[in-house]
Amino acid sequence: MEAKLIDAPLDPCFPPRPSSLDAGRPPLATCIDRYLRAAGLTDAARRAALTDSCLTDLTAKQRGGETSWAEIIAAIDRCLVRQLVPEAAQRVPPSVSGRVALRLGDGTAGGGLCDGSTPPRQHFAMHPQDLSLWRPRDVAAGGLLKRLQIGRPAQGIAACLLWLAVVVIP
Amino acid sequence: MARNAAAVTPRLRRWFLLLLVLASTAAAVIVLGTILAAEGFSLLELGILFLFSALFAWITTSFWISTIGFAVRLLGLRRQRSATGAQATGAPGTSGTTALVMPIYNEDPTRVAAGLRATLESLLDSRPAGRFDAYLLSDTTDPDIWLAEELAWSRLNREFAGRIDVYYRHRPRNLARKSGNIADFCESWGQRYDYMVVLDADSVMSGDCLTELVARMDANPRVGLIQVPPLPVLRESLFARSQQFASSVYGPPFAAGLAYWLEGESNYWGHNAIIRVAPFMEHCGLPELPGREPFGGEILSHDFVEAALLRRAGWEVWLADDLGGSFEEPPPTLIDHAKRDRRWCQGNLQHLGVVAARGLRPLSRLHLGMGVMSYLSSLLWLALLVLSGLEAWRQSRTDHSYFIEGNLFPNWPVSYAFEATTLLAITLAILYLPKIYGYLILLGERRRRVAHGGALKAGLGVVLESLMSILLAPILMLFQSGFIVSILAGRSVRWASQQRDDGETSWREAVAAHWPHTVVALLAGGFAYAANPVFFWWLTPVLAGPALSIPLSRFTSRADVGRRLRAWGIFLTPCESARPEVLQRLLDIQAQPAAPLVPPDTTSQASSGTTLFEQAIRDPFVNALHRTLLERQPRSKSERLRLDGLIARVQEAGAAALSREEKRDLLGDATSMATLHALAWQAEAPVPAGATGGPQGATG
Repeated sequence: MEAKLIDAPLDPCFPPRPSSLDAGRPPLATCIDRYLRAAGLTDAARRAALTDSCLTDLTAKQRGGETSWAEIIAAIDRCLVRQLVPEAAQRVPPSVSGRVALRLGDGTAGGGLCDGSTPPRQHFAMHPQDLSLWRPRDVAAGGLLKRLQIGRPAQGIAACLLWLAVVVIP
Repeated sequence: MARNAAAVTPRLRRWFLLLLVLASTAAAVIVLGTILAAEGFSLLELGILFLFSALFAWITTSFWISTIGFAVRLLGLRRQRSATGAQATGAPGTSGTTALVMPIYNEDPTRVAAGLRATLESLLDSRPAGRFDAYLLSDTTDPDIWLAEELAWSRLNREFAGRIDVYYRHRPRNLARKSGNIADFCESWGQRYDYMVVLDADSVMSGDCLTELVARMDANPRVGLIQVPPLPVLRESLFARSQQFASSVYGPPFAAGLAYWLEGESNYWGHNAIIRVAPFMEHCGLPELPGREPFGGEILSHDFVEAALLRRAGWEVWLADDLGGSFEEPPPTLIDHAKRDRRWCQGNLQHLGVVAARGLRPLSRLHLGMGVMSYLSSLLWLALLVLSGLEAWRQSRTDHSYFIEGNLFPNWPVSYAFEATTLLAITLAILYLPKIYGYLILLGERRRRVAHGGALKAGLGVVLESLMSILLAPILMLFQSGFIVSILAGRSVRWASQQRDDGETSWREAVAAHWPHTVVALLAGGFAYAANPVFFWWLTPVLAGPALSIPLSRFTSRADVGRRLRAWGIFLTPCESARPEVLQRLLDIQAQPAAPLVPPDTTSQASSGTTLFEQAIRDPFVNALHRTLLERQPRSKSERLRLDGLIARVQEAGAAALSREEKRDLLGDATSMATLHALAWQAEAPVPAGATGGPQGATG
């Protein structure tokens, strides 16, 4: 069964590393609990409640087969978002802002962290301005100027000749 | 009629300044011409005369600006000017919405956050009437710095939540460098704001300054931009402290003169300025210049061009020389100064392709031309020295002819020593009188005088700074001449981030940077002495600096020397002795023990010694924060496969196996970061076989 990650399906090319600890491997709740502690949730009671909530969520979403870490993390994110950032709960793709809110707090009165950090983008182009050079009005002169182009080697030779003139002639 | 009079007066002032410059240059050229024409003009002498006239006009312009500024301050004309021009009327009006935008590129996130925090706290203390938002606009390419910025931003966001919204945006591609960064902000969010204040990564501005700028913009609807001269502060090296002292003492008359002369046709220096967003968006989109780099391509020094475009569209650009509370940090060492100069030199030379653009105002063209001249003058000075040396050698080889064919009377040599000495004295006066103006103004303002250590120590500082400039100016001349030659040879510069802390120059760095200067000085001195010993002694003030450039560069980079002089009251500035509140706040923030960006994770034994990139893979918070801040970008199939390949490499060999660019590519993809996060936890704690959902109660 292909697992569904938060943003995209988990590629089945990356199987979990085999572990030599068949005996004593932590049950699923312990995995969730461990992750929540790493995410900054130090309150044991709150952690236990969230763990139960995540397990319920996983059960509801479970379609049989192995539970992967991608599914566990997705479930944790859904639960955190529902609790801490309800306005982000409907976002597609689902938001990870619950984990952010968990560590930083869910905002102070009158404002707080926003998911995505910047206001919605508007799209008003700044058009490049015309910096074309002033040209003489006289067409003939203008045409001559346009045709007059000195290549880099010619510039170098001219510079050398000028210096020679200054140094040698006196 | 009053409006016409107001328009005529600045024009008259500019014509008057032009007259002063032309008259003094003409007089000097006539004197020199008289000296050189003693035995007829040679091509060499004509060359000397031409170079001298260009350089004399250049230094005379600065001199007259400072002189006018000195008179303005002395006669109190500044107070008269404050009733006109871009000043707040005092009547409370509706204040606009303002964005503080800080483009950053591989800067120290801790310093950036500290500076922005000090600015925002000062702003809140000043109780602004309008709304302010802050934007960190990142073009950072280093993965760990990128992540550190996000973490620093998250702290700022939380600290100021509910008071000032602090946003963070990371641009995946650094198109058009800083100007492109700001343009991206304008295109995406510019319509939300009336004004934006552009800050550099090391900029600090006081709340009073910011609120006053907004008030002036509100009161003057024709003003498009107000630039506040930033004062260099907070460095401790000898080189930087002398620069800070010079700016503090000599800056006021020069700034007053500039403001008096330019009025609403001033310039923009790229930061510490408030800009009216709507006209900026409409008129300041920068094109790519035709041709290849270094003259073609993206416009590097965008500030002068943007000011010129605003003026072309009829908006006023003012210099608020009367406002304080605007600060920046200068380069700490001579070599860092030269590196910055290299970038600016290319940017300014590029303006040669813009100065003749259609529709620009004459003063805008003058600003662009002066920017070019500020670097070209070094090459002209070098050329003048070379031609002078050749002329001295030629004269030493030429015997005076006492009898000319067809003339019975002897041709006695005429001494022009008096004229030559007078010309030299006038040139020195032009170079050093502006410093004396600054010192005299300082003497007349008790508070500033005390803040600079008193009359005696400030005077000693002026003397020492002058001696230092005599030694360092020729070194910078050689640096800049080399830059111009390399730019003309087609070598472009990459816009690297500036050195922002007081790092000393090592002997190796000093030798690597300055050995050509030492060689040039020794060779030139040797030739000069062999050809014409008198000329050699005249040349020693110019040769001394480059000959001693290696130890000088090292010595002036030392922060301990700077601190010792500060303890003695030398090069003291008000920002050291009577520190403005916003700067003290910045220092207090920086002095606080640095909290870890990411609290240690007790569940993992691998948290110590890991890079931020590795933490972004594993740590739930860092991973989520980063993905929250990422903008969604569609990936092609080939790109997706490439990223999957990188993920596989991380699994096999760890994050250290990736290059910086590869890490950046992974960081730029939310899907990849989600995959890596799950894989990291999978590797660390595999889910037990047969584990299913259902409440089981927490353990552990």
